Formats: sequence, structure tokens, C-alpha cells
Amino acid sequence: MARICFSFAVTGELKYLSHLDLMRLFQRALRRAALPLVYSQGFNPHPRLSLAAPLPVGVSAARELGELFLADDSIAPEQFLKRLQEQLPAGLILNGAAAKAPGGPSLAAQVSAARYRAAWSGLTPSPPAAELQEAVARLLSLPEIRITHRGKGGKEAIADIRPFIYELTAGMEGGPVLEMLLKAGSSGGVSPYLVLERLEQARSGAAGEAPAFLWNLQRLALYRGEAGSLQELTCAGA
Amino acid sequence: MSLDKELQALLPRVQKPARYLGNEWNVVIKDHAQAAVRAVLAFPDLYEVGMSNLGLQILYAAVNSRPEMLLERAFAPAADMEALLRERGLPLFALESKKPLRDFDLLGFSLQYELSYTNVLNMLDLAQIPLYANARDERYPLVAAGGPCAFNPEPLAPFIDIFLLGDGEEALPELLAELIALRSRGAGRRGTLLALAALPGFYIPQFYRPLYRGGSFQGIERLESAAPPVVAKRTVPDLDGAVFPTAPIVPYLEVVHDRGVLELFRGCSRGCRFCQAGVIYRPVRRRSPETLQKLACETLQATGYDEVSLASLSSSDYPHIDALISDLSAAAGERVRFSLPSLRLDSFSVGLADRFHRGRRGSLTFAPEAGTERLRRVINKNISREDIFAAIGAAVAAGWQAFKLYFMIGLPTETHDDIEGIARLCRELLDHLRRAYGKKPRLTVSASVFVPKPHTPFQWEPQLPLGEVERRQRLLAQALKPLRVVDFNWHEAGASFLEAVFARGDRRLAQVLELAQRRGCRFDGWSEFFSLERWLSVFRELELDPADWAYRRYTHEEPLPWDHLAAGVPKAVLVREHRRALAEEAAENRFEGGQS
Repeated sequence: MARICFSFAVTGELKYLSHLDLMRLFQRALRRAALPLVYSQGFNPHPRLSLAAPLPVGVSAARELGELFLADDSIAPEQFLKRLQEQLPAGLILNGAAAKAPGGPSLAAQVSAARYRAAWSGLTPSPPAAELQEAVARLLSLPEIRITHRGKGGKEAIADIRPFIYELTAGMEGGPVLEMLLKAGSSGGVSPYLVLERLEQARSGAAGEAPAFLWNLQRLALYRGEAGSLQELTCAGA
Repeated sequence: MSLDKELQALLPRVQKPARYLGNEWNVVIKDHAQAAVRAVLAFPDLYEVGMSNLGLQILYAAVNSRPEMLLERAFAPAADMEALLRERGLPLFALESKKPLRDFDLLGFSLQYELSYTNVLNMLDLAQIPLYANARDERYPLVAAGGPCAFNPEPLAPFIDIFLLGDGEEALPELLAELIALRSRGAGRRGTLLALAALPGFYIPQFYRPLYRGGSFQGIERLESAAPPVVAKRTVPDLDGAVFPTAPIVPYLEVVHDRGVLELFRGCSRGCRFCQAGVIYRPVRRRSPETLQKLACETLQATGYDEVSLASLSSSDYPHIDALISDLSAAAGERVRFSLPSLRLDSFSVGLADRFHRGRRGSLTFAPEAGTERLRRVINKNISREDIFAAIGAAVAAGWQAFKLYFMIGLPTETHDDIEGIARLCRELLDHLRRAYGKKPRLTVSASVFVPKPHTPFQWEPQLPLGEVERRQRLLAQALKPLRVVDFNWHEAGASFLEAVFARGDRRLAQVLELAQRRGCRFDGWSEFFSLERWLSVFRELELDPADWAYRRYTHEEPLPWDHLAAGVPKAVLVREHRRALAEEAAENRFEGGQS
């Protein structure tokens, strides 16, 4: 059995696919490519394929990661890339692939943080840069940022997301641009939309337009390791 | 800003943007400037429903396989998208090119169920196209409609230029080829319709006028000699030679039927007297096993699906179906599952389902339709209590744990005993399964409401009044209550009432549809949007009584609003079948067997 890690970009309108849509898309593309997939056991066997971290709907991505098992090592990573790319829609671009040792933790288990970039969508007039920087400073100076969310069993729970924001900076590149490094992964994390929503509140004092409308969001990279010593998660390193 | 750009800006604000992308796998994008004729297939329901329709994929392939033609798709936008389009004054668009529907040459609606009619009008309105055919000039597309409801389209007649009766895979490309030819001859809108009226299968409603006396329908008169007295339906004679979409569009979203489809045959030989599909899709035409094998392999290769549904009106009736599935499975490999959408209630079908099933033996679905053998004789669904016990017994023995049983309430001649018969059947079935197999499976009883449909032997029958339907639903719920393992679901009786009104409706109902759309009726097939009260107030405002259509017993002698549309079974045969039904006699050969 061979394990292959692959990296891909999600561009254009494909950012509107949900995690499940993307999983279905990959499964069907892999079957069309006639790759020797390995299936899970049980009543409803499905190809052993997983993505490192679900991408929120509306967020494009530069270097997402996925991994899967093939029945044997007869398919070289380059061949895998070529055959799979032929079966993917425009907008879903494979960046690279590497063989991986079959043991070891899954990508999903390693993800601990994600870096996002938000560029002003231009659909409404942009705020002055100084105002945005001030809002960032105000948000980061808060001792805690409380949110209510649906926790286990559908019960409402209160959480503080301030510790999940590792970095947040504002700049200008033709228009307002934000970069954020946020906690992510199986041990908890925060949606970039939620941070943008709170930032908008800090800026205008009110809940404004939906963040997905104001900003074009892109996930730049996924990370592993502890906060403070994060390393980019890549096929080579994983 | 271009429409495409404007739409891009709407996508982040709607709940499911993936409905509107139009760039799915196997989509066909053609250059508008290169096409001699441009058409849109409009499905008046959500993307997830429309993309589950095989007919849509067949027509898409049939037209787009011709280089000079182009066919795109449009669906009813969800409420959030509709609100945004209206707020910004943007027109409804086709998914592939994002061009406004009004810029196409032909806009064709798929009419699958009566409760989608308000969505048809709403889509025209959103497309900024005048609703009434006589208000549209050369600047607008011709508006066509086809599908099962085209066999009595009278409530929609004033809004539609061309109805297409019967199979569309040959007729739609033919219609588009005619449009190309007529335009090169400078035929104009009226000339085009006159030319189409002379071709088989095309019903041009503006060339016919209904006659009324004292509020009752008196028949229809022809206004143009080019329009035939009776419009015949189109039938593809040989499915092996017909187009089949082996590279169907593969949706990103999880749609209602999220799998490949293989149409085994069209038509049905069972002769159930309530069933309109059993009449309008006649005669029975089969694809050969060799063709099916080839189509299955091509479909799997082009889609990557891991499940293929073997579709038809009664798939276990396909000759040597077991051998067919064995061969298909062998060719497709162990990872592909073939499923049967509907199961006949007999041991053979159960054995079939079981043999090719993968995974947990969960739930099997059957449709006895009626609770007593007497009533099953009336509807010509001739299965005995013993058949039912044997079939479900075999399934229980094979390890199936739950069963869904579909019944209808309000079938002609139904009495309280027939309703109680449903509960009796369930009780005796459970007793039998406990005694014979020591098993106590879960039963789900689902009861829909009988709707008399045009071109069936029951087309003259009244629908049971709403209050009485609800009384019988309660009666059934009570009778089922002591059987604790039985779940009971019933349909919204109000929606079935409206379905009956429009199924047998005439042109007087067009104004009702127009006003209902303006009053906000949409997605009436969805219980969360349907409001009987809103509909009733529309009828009151127009001083019309919906009961006149739904509850009236039509006579065999009176003219019917769909008499000029031929579905294939002569009215005299339907009259005889109706009489035999009331006498609880089996169907004659002419009706059974699926011949026309």
C-alpha cells in the first residue's frame, strides 16, 4: 500500500464549494482517473482520502493538503499528479505530490494553525487604512473576545477566541489587506470569518455587511507544531 | 458592470452559491456568436431537484451534441437569490454563460409537477419577460414547455407559445432546427408558430380557443387550419438508437438523486388505473442489455460515480433483470453499486434487491397503494395479501430491518373499511413476521392523497374533499396507533387539493396562477413554502371556486380540456377501464401491456 500526499490550490468560483463538495469532487475525479484506490472497511466503503483541514465556504486557497492511499506503489507522484489534474475542473490546481511513509499521523491530526489573507473585495467603498489599523489594534488589545457558539449536543457555549488569534496585521496593497495567523485543527480553532466580523465591529461599532462580501479571503498555508514554533505543513515535511 | 460581474458580487451573500456556478464537470460551454440557435432549459425548482432529473440531462446532451445548437440551464433561484436579483433589478440568467434568459431564442420549461407552475411564472417575471404570450414580440424568446404536465397544460396555455407532447430527445433538436430554417426564411414569430403547429407533437395553444357556456367548459375550437384537431405525442421508437447522456453534468452539490442513471426502458405494462406515467410514456420500449452495458461503462468513466440507478417505471419488469445486473456488476467492478429505484411487491424483486445490495440491510420500500384486495382490484394493482407477506417475509429472512409502505387515501370507491384495511394489513403482516421468523421489523406507512390525473381511467373521478381526507388521515393514524412499531407519515392534503385543481384545470386558471405568483406563491411543492390560505384568498379574489375542478365528478360524455391532446390511449378505452374499475374487474389487455 502506498500513501501519497498532495498539495493543491482552490481558485476562482470553486472557493464556493463546501468541504463535503470538495471531498465528493476529489473522490469522483480519482475514480475517473482510474487510480488504484484503497477503500475503507465497513458497510459503506469509501476511498481512503482525507484533506488536512476543511476550507470554509467562500475561501480560496493557495496550498491546501490532502492525502490518500493507493493499492500499490506503481504510480509515481508525478504520474499521480498528471492523471488526477486531467480530471479536475479548472480552478482546482495541483501544486505537487510526494510519497509518504504509510505509518505516522494523518495530516488532519497535525494541523495546528492556518494563515489567511483578506483583500478588500471592492464591492463597497474601502475604509481608510488608518481606521483599519486602529481597529486591529483595538481588537488585539481586548483581554478577551467572547463568542457564543453551538457546542457539543447543540448547547450554547461561550468561548474566548482572543488566544486563537496569533497574528493580525493590516496593510495597503492597492486596497486594504489583512493577514492573520489563527489557531486551527482538531484541538479547536477559529473561523477567519468570525475574526473579520469582530474586526468590523471594532471598526464601525456595528455588525456591518457579511465579511464574505467585504473581503476576498484566501488561506495561504497550514501549520503544524506549537504556537511560537509553528512550521508550515508541507508534503515534504509531513 | 456586466451581468456576470454583478452576479459574482451576489454569490458571497447567498446560502448555497454552488447552485449558480454553472461550471460543473461535463458542462458544455459554447460560444453564442458561433451558434445558429440558442436555447435554455429552465427547470422550475431548485438546482438540487432539477439536476436530479434525467430528462434534463437527456435534452442537454441531445441538443449540445449538435454543433450549430446551444442549450444552457436555468433553475428557480432560491428565495435569497431571488431577493437579491429583485433588489438590484438584475434579470434571471442561464448558468453556463450568465447571459439573461431573455437574450436566448428559445426558453423551454420542464413541467414535472403542477405545483411548480407558479415557479414557471416567477422565472419568466425574474427574466423580465412578459408573462403572456400575446404580450411578447420579436424581441423576446419563444417560450416552450414539455414534460408530463404538458398533457394537460391548459392552466399555463396563455403564457406558453409551444407545448411539446411526449419524448423530447428528437423533438427538441427538431424544433431548434426548424427555428434556424424559419429564421433564414424570415418567418417571424407568428409564421414560426404556424409552421410548428403543422408538425407532430407541437401544440400551439394560441391557435385554439376554449368555449364556455354558463361557466362550464364546452370544448375547444381551432382558430387556424394549420393547427390539427388533435395533437399527437412524440415517441422515440427505438431507445437503442436514441441519445443517452453518458457524460452527464456531475453536480458539486449533493443533489436529490446523487448518482448515475441508466434508463432501462420507457413506459410500463402494469396498467395501474390512477397512474398517468403509465399512460403517457407508452408504449414500452426497452434498451438492449448490450446497449445498457455500453452506456453504463461510458457513464462511469465520464462521471466517477460509484452508484448507478437502474431507472424506469418498474425496473424489476425488465426481462432477465437479474442477468442484466450480474453482467453490469461484472463489467463495472466491485466498487460500483447498481440500485433499483422502485421494487415490485413480490419475492422475485426482493431477492433481486437483496442479491445486489451492498452495505447494511436497512430499509426497503414498496407501494401496495391500497389496504384491501378489493380496492387493489379497483386500481388494477393486483397483488394479494399473501404476495405481500411472502415478499416482505423473504426480505425479513434475508436480514432487512425496516420497510416503507406507500398507500393512497381517497382512491375511487374507498370506504372506511379500506382505510382500516391498511392498519389491518400492517397488523397481520407484523403477526406473520413474528410467528414465521421471530422478527419485529420497523414499518413506516406513508399515505399520499389520490389526485385524478388526465388521460387515466380515473380522470373523471372527484378528489375526496379536504375535510374528509383529513378525517380519513386521522382514522388511519388512530388505527395504526396500537401497532407501536409503525410510523405514519401523511401528505399535506391542501397541496394535493391544489394539484388536483391544476391537473384537471382549464384556461380559466391562468389568471389564478398569475395572481398567485404576484401574491408570493412559490415552491408550492415544498411544505415550508406552501400556503393553502394564500391560494384560497387568490381564488376568492377572482370569484372562482377551486372545488369546481377538484371535487366534481366529470361525466364520460362531456368534453374535457385535454381532449385535443393525445397521450396514446383512446378515450373509449379509458371509459371501459373506468367502468371495469368500478365493477372491480381486472384491466383489459388493451389497457394493460403498455401498448398504445
